[in-house]
Amino acid sequence: MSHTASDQRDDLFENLRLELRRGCLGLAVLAALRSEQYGYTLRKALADEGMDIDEGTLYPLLRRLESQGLLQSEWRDEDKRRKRFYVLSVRGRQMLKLLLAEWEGLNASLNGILKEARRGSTRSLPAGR
Amino acid sequence: MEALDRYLQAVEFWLPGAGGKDIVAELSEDIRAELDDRAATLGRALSDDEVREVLARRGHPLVVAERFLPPRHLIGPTLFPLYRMVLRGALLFCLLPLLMAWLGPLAFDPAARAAADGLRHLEGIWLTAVYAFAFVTVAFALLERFGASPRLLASWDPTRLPAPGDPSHISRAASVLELAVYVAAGLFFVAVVRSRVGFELGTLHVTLAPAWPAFAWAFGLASLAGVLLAGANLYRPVWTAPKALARLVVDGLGFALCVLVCRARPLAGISAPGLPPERAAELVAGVNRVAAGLVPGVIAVGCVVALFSAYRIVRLLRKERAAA
Repeated sequence: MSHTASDQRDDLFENLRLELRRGCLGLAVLAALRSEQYGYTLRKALADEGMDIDEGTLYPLLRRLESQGLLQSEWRDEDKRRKRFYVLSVRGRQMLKLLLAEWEGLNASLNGILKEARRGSTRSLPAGR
Repeated sequence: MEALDRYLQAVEFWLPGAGGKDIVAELSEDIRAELDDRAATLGRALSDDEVREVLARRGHPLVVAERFLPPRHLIGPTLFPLYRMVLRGALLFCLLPLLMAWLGPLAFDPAARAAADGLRHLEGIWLTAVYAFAFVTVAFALLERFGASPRLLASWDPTRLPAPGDPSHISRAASVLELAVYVAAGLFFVAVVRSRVGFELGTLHVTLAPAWPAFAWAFGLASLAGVLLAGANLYRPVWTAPKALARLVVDGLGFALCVLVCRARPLAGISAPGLPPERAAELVAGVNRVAAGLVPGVIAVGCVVALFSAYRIVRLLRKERAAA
């Protein structure tokens, strides 16, 4: 029974974690594409920075951002293989600037709220715990 | 790389148009890059099993393709709660009377024809359910397709939303109507008793079945109970569990009496100047046949009313328990 409850808690955490990360993926991809990259190297670059993203999420996201005019892409041969390279468009650069400002504001607000919450939870804990 | 080619072909199958080839070309490059990376790490070519493992990790071709497709639905999340409510109502409205008309006579007369006609009834119920489901679903799919949901939800006013419902409140207008109906019914049955089962309708003399005085007394008592209940509701327009139980009993008695009257060949005879006796007998038989034919319908309506009353009692008891 406790095993099931633990599994449910893990599933819930996983869902919330994914939801939290999903909101940041667009920003991370736009930021990483300030320099030109193709899908696989982009995925690896993001993973190296701790932002794992599976291909089933990345490629549809790249296509959506391109259809919104934020990215431009080009098929080119490299190492005897055809690869599709992506880079930020002019509109994408402007959008990245706006999103970064929004992110910083959000981050500051969240830090303030978290600081309050941490202080509150520390106060409410019994001594010695 | 046969497995990879099969995999890519399967993904492309689910992706429509020229865009599919483009997606698959990019996907192919991504998978090949991953396979090359793995081979470089291991320092050897990958075995078929290792390639299969990489592909399996990426998911079923249909799942992979679906991620590239725009989200599609027959009925979207905005309309769906309304669709569910209408579908439930439509199924209840269509199926409950049919079910009652089938099951009701069985309860009163196990040897009824309903048992023999069971399959025919089931077929009718099933077809009605399918038609109701199809009609409501198609109607909502069309609303969704033509973008009616944003228009439906665009103009609204908080003050015109329904007021919070109180299941125990009784409408005074409904009580007045009930009172009028029960008084009229009571007067009718008093008249029947006084007429000694015979009365004139213009030049027509109608003779009722000999059982009518007994029925009339019973109907009169049920009407009196109905008048008292409607009066009590008018005085204090709030349902309580005893009042709701009394309503169930009165309604149940009324419908049971209706069934008994319909089955008791209520008309004994008619006569009029110039009406041949054979023709009069045919008319009497026809009226009695129609009355008998009404029995399943009366039972069905009675069962629906009884279910509604029972549901009201359950809700009131729950409310009382919650308040305690």
